[in-house]
Amino acid sequence: MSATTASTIIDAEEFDALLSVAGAYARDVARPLALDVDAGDEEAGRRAWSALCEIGLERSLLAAEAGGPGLPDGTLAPLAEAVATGDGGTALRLVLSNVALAGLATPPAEAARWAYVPAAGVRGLEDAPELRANALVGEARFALGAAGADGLVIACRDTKGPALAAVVRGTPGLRERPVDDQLGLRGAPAAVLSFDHATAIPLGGVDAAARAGALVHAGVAGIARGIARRAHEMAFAYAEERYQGGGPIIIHGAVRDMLARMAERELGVGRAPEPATAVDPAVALAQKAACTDAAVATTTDAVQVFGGMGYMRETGVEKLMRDARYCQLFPASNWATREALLQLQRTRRASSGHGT
Amino acid sequence: MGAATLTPLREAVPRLVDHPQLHGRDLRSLESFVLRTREFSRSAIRPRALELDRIADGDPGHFPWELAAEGAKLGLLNLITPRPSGGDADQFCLRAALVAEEIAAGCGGMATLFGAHALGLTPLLLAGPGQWDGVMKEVAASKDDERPLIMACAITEPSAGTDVEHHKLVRSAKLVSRAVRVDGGYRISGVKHFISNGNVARWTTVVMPEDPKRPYETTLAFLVPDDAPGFAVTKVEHKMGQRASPAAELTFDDVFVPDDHVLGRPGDGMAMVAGVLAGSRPVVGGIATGIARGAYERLLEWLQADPVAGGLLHHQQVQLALAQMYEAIHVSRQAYVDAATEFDSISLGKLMANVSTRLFGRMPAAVRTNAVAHRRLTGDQSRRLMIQLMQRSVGDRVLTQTLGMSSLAKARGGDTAVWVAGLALEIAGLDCGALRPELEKCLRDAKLCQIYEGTNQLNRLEVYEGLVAGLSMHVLDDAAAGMPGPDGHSGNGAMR
Repeated sequence: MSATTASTIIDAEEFDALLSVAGAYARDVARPLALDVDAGDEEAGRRAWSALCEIGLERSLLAAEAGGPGLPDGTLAPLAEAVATGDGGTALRLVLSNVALAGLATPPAEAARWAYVPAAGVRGLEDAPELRANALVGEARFALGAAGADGLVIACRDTKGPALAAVVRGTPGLRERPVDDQLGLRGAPAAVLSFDHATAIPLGGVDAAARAGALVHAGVAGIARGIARRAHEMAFAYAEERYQGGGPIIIHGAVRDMLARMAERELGVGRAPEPATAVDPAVALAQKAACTDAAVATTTDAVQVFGGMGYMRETGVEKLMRDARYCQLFPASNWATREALLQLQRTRRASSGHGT
Repeated sequence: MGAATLTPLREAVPRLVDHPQLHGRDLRSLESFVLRTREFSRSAIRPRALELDRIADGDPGHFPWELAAEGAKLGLLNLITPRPSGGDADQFCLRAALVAEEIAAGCGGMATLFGAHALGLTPLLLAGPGQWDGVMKEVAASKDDERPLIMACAITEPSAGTDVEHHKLVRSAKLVSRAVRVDGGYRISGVKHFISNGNVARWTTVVMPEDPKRPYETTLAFLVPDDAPGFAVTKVEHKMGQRASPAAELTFDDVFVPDDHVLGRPGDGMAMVAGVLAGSRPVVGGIATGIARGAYERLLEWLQADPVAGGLLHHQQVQLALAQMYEAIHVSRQAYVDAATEFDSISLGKLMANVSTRLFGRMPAAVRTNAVAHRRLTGDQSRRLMIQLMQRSVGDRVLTQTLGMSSLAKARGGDTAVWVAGLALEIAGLDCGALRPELEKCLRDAKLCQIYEGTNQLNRLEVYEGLVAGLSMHVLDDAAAGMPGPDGHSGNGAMR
């Protein structure tokens, strides 16, 4: 296996059709299962995943030469957004699977689930597992979406800097422990991964790692947009039908203001970029921070519009708030995301002859 | 590095030292009580908070009797019980709010458990001396029991939530519950939901109108025991957070309430609701401040103890975030202390200082509980007298202003709790080990503070009316003017 960045061209019409399929999956499969998946029902999680695999969305970025459709990187975020209107956790599985598969040159086994594990520690890459002589050493203390995966693509570091390496389930030296009390995106259960000289296949260095990083940031931004869209839609519908204080609550200024701000975020900062062939890492970082902050604001207000009902598990609105929070924190907190954006901007300025 | 705690109280809230109603001894006593509660919260509540949360996630009706009993021994179920009833409350709202912060720093749900109990008792306190024996004494007497007596207060309904807690919006609220006057009392029917402690309360104070289409004019309150025929707990909610305090749906199917368990007269209910909320919202401000403090303290402990995480303290962004958290917690605390002292010294304080009230306090219990005296003290004339006392000593303008202050404390605190808990989680990130589920719980608990006791939006309308526009709601004056009583007499019924 080796890293590849090849991708096929997809025209707008084809992509719209694919988005419709993803939207239908979200509406008809992911959404009806979402509360069960959130409650930890493993069978519901399996059904959501296998239906996603049936329409091939889990491998849309797998390169053509590896037997996949090889869609452009820029298609991942819109697809994630569509699926996240059904369930954010399932959408994260889709993102992590595609980021992992995008780095593989040979086809994975049918129905195998792969997950990308970003460097998410307090100190970023410094905390990431180390790749030494095709073996990984270290730990991923909160690998979201990695629990039960058949294969893992790990963001790690080698002697030259950031790198990617693949590890398959059952490899000696790989140990997985479940994580309890996951606040959000529970459709992508987290695990603690320990690597004690676990045999790993190098997938590439700095460029491969940068591509994976950009993809996951763009993907999480897409998920956040999908979650926020769903929260906005639910709050709007509820505000039209819930009667309080002399009429539907949409007549009250406080509710109108919250709904208007949701629309402002959705049509402003939260708007999806046009699907492009590649994903610019800086744009992806900016989108990740802006869209996830917007999603937290929108989902928190959506719970507020629902009032006491919004705080109860049965309405599903509080789940959107919890899911949005995890988007804000994954793969790293937004303050660290902004710091990474600044570093990237400084590097670019320096290399273009500006700045110091 | 300093934690945003209250050590000592006079440093955290310096103006309490010069407060006219807090003499040196009172302040020392208050400080000592707060410190005892802090110790209880740190040693008994915080270590069990996550476990309780997990248990209640699987069994939403679970009630932590063991911790409630320990708290009762400390006095946490008698925070507002006046001396004639066997309590020792001098600063009612202030003490309850300060204590709420301490408990909430350990677990937001536990703070709501004790707060909701006080909410259930407040209508009895406001109903006047006629209600200070009976149930209030039962509560005080149960403090050493394995299962102490728990109270709840039922206001909201499935079709009417925030609007029933506002004196204007209630006029158009879609209430379904109804009280029907019968010989010797009332028969009440309806469904109340989101009632904290509702599934375990021995007594619930229930607010219902005689005419659901005219709730403002006809609402009154009732005291209902859990074994009343027709009363049932029909659901326990599965909440996002604050799970240590269960929230239940209660159904009243033609439940008979005798006259001596009727609080107020038709139309007095809104005055009662306004008084209860003016006293309970600063406590919610305390709970919210405590949740925020709990998140901040947990984060700080982790940053200081974990060698890897400690590196974060070198980032100026993290230093500024910690400073902003400290600042928000401090401001929220001052807001609820202001609201609570105003309630104690201006609203309730004036009522408690009234000659008639003080005379009752000195009346021997044997006289007070005599059957004839009791009937008089809980009868219609006595109910009218209490409203008149409140009208004369407090008045609509003062009550509106107090409600505005209490709403300010509640809204500010709720926003602080959500913001601080979210920021703490953002600084720590997902990869922070055992700290993560604790901070996540703080965030889940915090969100309720923006919703219960009226949404923050409704509370800010109260701030506008009471503090910005200087308006007066007309709940006391109208009630004192003489709404139709249970005996069918009606006064002039002047409405504005």
